[in-house]
Amino acid sequence: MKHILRTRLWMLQNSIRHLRRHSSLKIGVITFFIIFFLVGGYLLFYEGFNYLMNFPPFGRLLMDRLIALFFVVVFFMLIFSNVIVALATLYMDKELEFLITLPINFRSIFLTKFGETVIFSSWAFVFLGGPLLLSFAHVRGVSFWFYLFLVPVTLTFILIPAALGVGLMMIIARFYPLKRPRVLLLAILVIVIPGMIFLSHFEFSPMMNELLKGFQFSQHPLLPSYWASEGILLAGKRELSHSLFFFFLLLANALYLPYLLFAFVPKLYYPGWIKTKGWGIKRLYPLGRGIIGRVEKSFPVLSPPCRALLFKDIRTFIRDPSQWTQFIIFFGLLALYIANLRNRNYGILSPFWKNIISFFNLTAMGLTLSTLTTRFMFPLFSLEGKRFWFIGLAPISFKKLLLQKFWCSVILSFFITEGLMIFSNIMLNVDRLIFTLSCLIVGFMSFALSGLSIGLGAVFPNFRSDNPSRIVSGLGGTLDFILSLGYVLITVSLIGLPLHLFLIKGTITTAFFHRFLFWAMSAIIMLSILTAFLPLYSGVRNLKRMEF
Amino acid sequence: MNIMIKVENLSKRFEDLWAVKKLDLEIREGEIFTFLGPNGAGKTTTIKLLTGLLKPTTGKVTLGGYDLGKERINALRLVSYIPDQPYLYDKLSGREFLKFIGELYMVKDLRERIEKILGTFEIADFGDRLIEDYSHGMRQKLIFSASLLHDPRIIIIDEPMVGLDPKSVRLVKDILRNKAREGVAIFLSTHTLSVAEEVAHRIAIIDHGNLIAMGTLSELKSKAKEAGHLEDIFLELTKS
Repeated sequence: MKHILRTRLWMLQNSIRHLRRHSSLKIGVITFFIIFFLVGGYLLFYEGFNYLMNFPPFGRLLMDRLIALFFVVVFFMLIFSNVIVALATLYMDKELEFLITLPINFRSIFLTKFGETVIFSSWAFVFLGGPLLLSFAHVRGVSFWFYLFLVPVTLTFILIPAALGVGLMMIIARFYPLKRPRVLLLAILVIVIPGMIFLSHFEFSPMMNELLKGFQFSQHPLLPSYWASEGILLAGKRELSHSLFFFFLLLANALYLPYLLFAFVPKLYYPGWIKTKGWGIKRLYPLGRGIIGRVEKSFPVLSPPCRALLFKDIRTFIRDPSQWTQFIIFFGLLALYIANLRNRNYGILSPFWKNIISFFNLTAMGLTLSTLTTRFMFPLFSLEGKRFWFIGLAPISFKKLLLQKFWCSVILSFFITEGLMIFSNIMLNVDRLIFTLSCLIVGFMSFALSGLSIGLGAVFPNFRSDNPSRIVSGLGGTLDFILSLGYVLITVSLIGLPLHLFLIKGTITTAFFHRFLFWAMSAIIMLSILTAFLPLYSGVRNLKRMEF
Repeated sequence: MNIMIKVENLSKRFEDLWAVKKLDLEIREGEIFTFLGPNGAGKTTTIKLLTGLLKPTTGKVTLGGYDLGKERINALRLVSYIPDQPYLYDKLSGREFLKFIGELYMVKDLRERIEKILGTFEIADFGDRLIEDYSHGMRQKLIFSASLLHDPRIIIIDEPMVGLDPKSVRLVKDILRNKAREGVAIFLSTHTLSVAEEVAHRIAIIDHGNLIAMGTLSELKSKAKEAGHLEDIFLELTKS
């Protein structure tokens, strides 16, 4: 065990040394954007919490409930994330084939890989949760015990969904029937649907009492997320004995659950790992058969090389469980969001709230698209890396190669997000003007964010990994996500300002509004073109310079 | 015979290490040129320079008359490269992979060609299985199939026999000889000296990035003052 950890440490040291070889400009830009995102996130949450403080006594209560809601959402997200990451690290990782042949017991291998799973699936929580929790602490003026409890409570908390997620993956891997692959889909739905039903209890209402009632599900005493949120909230109020109670409750479970997994390693993990080696062996994929084969045959629009690249990407995506299961979870969460838009009587809301909600909806669509393009489009080029000996040698230019991936991403993300936008706009019963503008803007966003992700994917490729989650977790993926968020926020602000001044405040004339809208849309179009093409241009340049 | 691979003053430096130093080569149509050298001698770097996967520090590579640095696409149309570590798309079936390669090179009558080549390498029965289920030898056969699909004029191979069973080794040697007879220029890097001895028209030996010997087997024998096998000549020339 200590040998594996020592090797990991060496690898980390070497990676840090390797990092020094990157240009200081590249590192500087990335550091700047990470700091910008953290500080920006902190200020945004700070403003939001400050706003809530204007409504005593509900404001304070609402803030506490929001923290509890944050932890419960993170709890379920981390379970899903750990299931997926565990499939990649504990079962599919090629390193395992080497480690298993060494005189190391399975428990040591499991423990190392479990640690990796926890880190890969939970780092984003720490990254995103930091600004939220610190701004909360600042606004509420909590005691220093809050800060003291924050790190141990969150670190202990993340072990529980990790153990649950990894445990579920171990059961799936051990008992997954080889001849019925759809059972895996069913198993994932069995995990996802209860989580969604649970989360769908949240109801938005402008009435404060009903709003607080809607948060009640996050206060369930059996939820580890409740123990975590209470652990830090009570520490902030100097109620140390209660806070310690929740911390120890978390700690007991955080130690017991991984120990339970550890005990089942010989019965579940190793036989399961052996079984995964046989996944898919029985299946045959005759040329031209199946849905993809038939669609490909009747797809003469593209040139043969572009068609070959497109359908190769589609096939590799669909046949990789770690990819499509994340896709299902991603769209499951979107379905949950859409389901929550139903029957909320938006028609009777004041124009102020209607417009605010429709802009939140546009922002939500933009953020969804950012996640979609970062998670699924950014790794596309890196995944070609080890195969560059034939892609790079084929008589197809780097520009064509990137453009094929770009247009594929634009078309896919356009249809998905435009469909969702139209559907949610109908649900929200928004004005015709906002309906049209939001649909147009989502179209521009699909274009811009696809270019950004594909372009940055070629600027910051990672050819050492075949695991998309790991590729996205790198510097380039983080930068892509941060820039995508920045683009979405600027775009929404550009369109939001004239509409807010005209429709809500009524402080500008119709003629001025039309001019303002024209310039705002022109700025969005320019910004979208630059956001798409600058990274693509840099990507092509980088490919021409790159060595493999 | 036209020159198909021309290497002029080719060098490659990685930070302080010169992996290849001032290499000059000419390989003609129909010639099997074998490149030998100890581990770390610069063989794979040379191959990567020949295929454009690495950029030269100095010098240039011309393939079929096209400067690889300036007319990359035209040059690469003529080439097939078979690497020593064959990474493939594990989630495609063998037939799908061949179709993918064939469409990239816009090969005509693709279906017939795929079936013919799978038959030649005796992997037709496995053609509908995912590549992730293939053994190393089957992957190697699939790569050979893919590399011959578009009738290349130049074949560059790094360690061709790794993982192949004896019957397939014979098949590959026969195919290489037949391709050479058809006028294809073959650049072959290997550690398997018996293969070099059997198929090569000319042999070059590289050590520490320097070309230390080049010629036919008999020319090398006289240079090494050894009457033995290629193995003895190789050890004599690289003993420093």
